[in-house]
Amino acid sequence: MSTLVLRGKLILAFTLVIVVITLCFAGYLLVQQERIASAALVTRATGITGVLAKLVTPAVERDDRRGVSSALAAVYGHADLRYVVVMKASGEVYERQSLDELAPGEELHDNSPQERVVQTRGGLLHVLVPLSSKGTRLGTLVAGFSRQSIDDAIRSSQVALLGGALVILFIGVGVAWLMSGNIARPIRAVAQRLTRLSRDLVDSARGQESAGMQQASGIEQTRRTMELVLASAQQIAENSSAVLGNAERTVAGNRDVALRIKELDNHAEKAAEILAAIMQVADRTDLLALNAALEGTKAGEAGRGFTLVAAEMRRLAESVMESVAGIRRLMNDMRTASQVAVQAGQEGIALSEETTRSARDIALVTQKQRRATEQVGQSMDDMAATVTEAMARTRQTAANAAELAAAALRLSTLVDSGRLTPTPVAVVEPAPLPAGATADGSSR
Amino acid sequence: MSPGAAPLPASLAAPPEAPRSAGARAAVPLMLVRVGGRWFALAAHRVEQVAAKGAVTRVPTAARHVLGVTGLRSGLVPVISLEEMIGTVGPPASDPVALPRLVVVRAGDCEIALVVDEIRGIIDDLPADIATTPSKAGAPCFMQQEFEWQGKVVFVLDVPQLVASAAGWNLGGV
Repeated sequence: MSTLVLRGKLILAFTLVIVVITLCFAGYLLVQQERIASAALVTRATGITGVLAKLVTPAVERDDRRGVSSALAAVYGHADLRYVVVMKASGEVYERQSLDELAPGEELHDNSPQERVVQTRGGLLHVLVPLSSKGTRLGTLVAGFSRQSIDDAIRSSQVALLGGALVILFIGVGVAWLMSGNIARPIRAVAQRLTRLSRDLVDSARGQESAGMQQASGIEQTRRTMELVLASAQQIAENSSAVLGNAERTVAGNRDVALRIKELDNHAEKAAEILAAIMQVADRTDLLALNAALEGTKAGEAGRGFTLVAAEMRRLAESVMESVAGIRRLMNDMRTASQVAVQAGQEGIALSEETTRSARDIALVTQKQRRATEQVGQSMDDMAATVTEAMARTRQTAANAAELAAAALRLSTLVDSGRLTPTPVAVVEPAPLPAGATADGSSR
Repeated sequence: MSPGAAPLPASLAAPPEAPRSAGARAAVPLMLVRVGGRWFALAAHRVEQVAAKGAVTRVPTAARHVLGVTGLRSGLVPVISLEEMIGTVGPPASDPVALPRLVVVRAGDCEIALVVDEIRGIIDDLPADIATTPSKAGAPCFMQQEFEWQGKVVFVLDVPQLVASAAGWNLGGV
């Protein structure tokens, strides 16, 4: 229905244009036709009057009224000729012929012109031709021609032009019908599609703006997290430095302990040498006591006391040897324990050195991490600025899309209503900027 | 006393020159020594001396039980390995205190030094009526008797037979 309204408006516009053009063209044709017909009438009238003057001049000179009448009779019946008057030089009407009765004063009786004069008066074309012969003024020939033929021709032309205008109008209306159909349908389709695209564009811009807001929020949160990571890296660096100092002190302490244990081992070796000497003395004492007991035994009853003393000495020597053996076992245990302690100390030194290296590595890695974190923070700031700028551009895009949607909706409404005057349409306002973003690209 | 038991052999009898009082004990003093896991008893009056085992010089072409000779106060004395003469003496007792000793015994004019792992000492309070039992068949001729003392089986070494066996002599009743 809306398409028909639009097409009707288009047809009306086309028809108005065609009518205006046709009227202008017809008016122009009529004016030109009247001008040409008037000129032709003047030419024809002057020609007829000139010929008639030449015919009647001899008769007037001879004062032959019949000759004048016959000459006038030659042109009598001409469609446009209404009257002919021949006047004497004295102003007397010498001969007169008229097709019908003219009103008084309709005929022009002027004997004054010295040369041919054409006048239009009273709806007639009057031609005045002086009659002379051999330099003598004989009189004046006055002929009146009617414009009836011109009016008839113009009337016929008007009828023809009206018919042609009607034909052109019908043809124009048909053509306008076809053209309006080819124009209105695409316009309406384009308007509807433009409306849909504009709404989609607005929705997309809003979604993009919402995503940008979320991205900005995420970047802000990431930036805060990176600040926490940076603080943690600094604390780790400080702790690693403390660990490094403790590890170095531990290395020094372990080395001192290893040195002390080595000194203790040397003392133990010297004690073992002393014990070996004691052991040797006790062994010899044991042998001496055993030999003494043997000799006492061989001496019989006389050597019995000697044997007992030797036996006591031998038990004493054996006791010493057992004690020395026990001390040796203890010394061996001590040496084993000291060796284990030395080995443990060396392992502790190795572990401490490894801890020192690890602490240094941790310190270096932490420094690198801190620098990397700072760079990441800078990148986060740059990214936040970029996202904020993108959001501003997106907001501008949303505003433009809203305006486009309003224009598309207005066009669609115009197409649907067929009204030429614009209709107020609700403009889709873009969403406001997020609380953490400003239009100048900075985030709060 | 177990069945088949006999009084102390003549090798353990007191020497004829030793004075004997009325209250004296009947048995002769014995020196108990250990070789490996076995205990042996020797008559104390057959023992000349005990010494630490020093350097032993090997003697070429000597028997396997002759480890060599060593210098003692009585001159060069052959060093004899009881383990080689007996065959096996069992696993040695774990006693890090004991040191190898040489027990010099004499039979007649001949002295030999026995390598022992431990010298228990001289026992002079052995009861006179302690019974000995013959060793198992196939035992060496110098180790024909044994007795039990403080839970240990002690083989009685006949020093003259031992010296004769070590030297490859037949000393008869020395």
